[in-house]
Amino acid sequence: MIRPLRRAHRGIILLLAILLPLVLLIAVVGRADRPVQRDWVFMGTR
Amino acid sequence: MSTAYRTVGWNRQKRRYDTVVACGAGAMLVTLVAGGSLVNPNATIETLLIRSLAITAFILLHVVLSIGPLCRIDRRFLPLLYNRRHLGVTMFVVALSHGVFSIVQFHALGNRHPLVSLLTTSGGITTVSDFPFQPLGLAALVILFLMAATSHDFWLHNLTAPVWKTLHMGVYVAYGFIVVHVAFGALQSERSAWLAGLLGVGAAWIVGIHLVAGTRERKTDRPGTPRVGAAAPAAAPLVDVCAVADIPDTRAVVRCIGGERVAVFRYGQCVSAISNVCQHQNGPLGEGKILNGCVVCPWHGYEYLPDSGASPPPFTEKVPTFVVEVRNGRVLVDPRPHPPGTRLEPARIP
Repeated sequence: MIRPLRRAHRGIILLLAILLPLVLLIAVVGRADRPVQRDWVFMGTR
Repeated sequence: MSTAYRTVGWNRQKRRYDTVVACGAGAMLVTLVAGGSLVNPNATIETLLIRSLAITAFILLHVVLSIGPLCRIDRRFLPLLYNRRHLGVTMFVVALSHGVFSIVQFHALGNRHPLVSLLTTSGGITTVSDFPFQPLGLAALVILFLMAATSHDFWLHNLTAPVWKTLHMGVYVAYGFIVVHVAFGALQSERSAWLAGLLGVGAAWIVGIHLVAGTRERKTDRPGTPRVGAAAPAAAPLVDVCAVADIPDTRAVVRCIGGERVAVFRYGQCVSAISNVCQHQNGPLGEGKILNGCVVCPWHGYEYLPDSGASPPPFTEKVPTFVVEVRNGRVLVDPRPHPPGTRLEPARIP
């Protein structure tokens, strides 16, 4: 792989390595005590 | 390798690969639907299908993303890479089915356009569960569509390998979007710890094997040792690559010279150097070997003559070549590349 592509590839992977654990942490720690019941039926009518 | 575009250049290996992929994805889907109906008997078939399609596509995406780094770590995974695009397109079709089923099920019953509904459903974000996860799924699907639509060699040739590769690196963005989509979607309505755990393990696996493979690759990118004054005064210094004996016959040693990887091949009493980057998909030519007088790319079998870097007629691919000298049992390479396809006299081993 040519050099700029290799750098971009490494950059994206490092970004994922930093951001994904943060996202998962926020999503798990911050979720409500009870499962969310989404009001799917009315989604298109609001 | 082919001189004309065909929808799919079928061969025995591709048929076997696609059969295994289709049977594997189908079996996974059936198992998930059956398992889901046992675990949650009240779930409708639509819900079971939406969930099963999502899990199948997500698992396939993990497999697709694992193939590249696994091949860098162990060459035995190379046969999986040969048809990775077929696996990617299959994954997109499954993901698209999940998207279409979800939109029809959850957004088609109102008086707004389903896509408008999908993009505007979320109101204010007051809790983590309010995060608008659906547009991220749609964004990932758009990226995967672009990749699937341009996966054919026609686009690869016309966009050129660097542009095509850059476009297809969007898969990592799509992966990030999908992890957020699942984390703020399914993870908010399904409380089981195993789901959160699996999502975390999957992300750690993908990032982990890429980091391991990248760490190994960095060693290859260490610059060679320059020999100042080894060439004519006006010329750039030749770079000491290795001893002649370090290169197995019909194989190559890869070194980073002038910021780019160069593959130095030995064949019989000759030594030639060409760019390590295959013109097809940027595959590592230096990890291939010389068969019937041609360097064969280990990824898809593209061929190049070692002394000119040109594919044998009627093929037209060409890679840059480098001047090589052999002195006192050492292989020296001029770091200045010659235009792709330039024939250079191979260095002779005394």
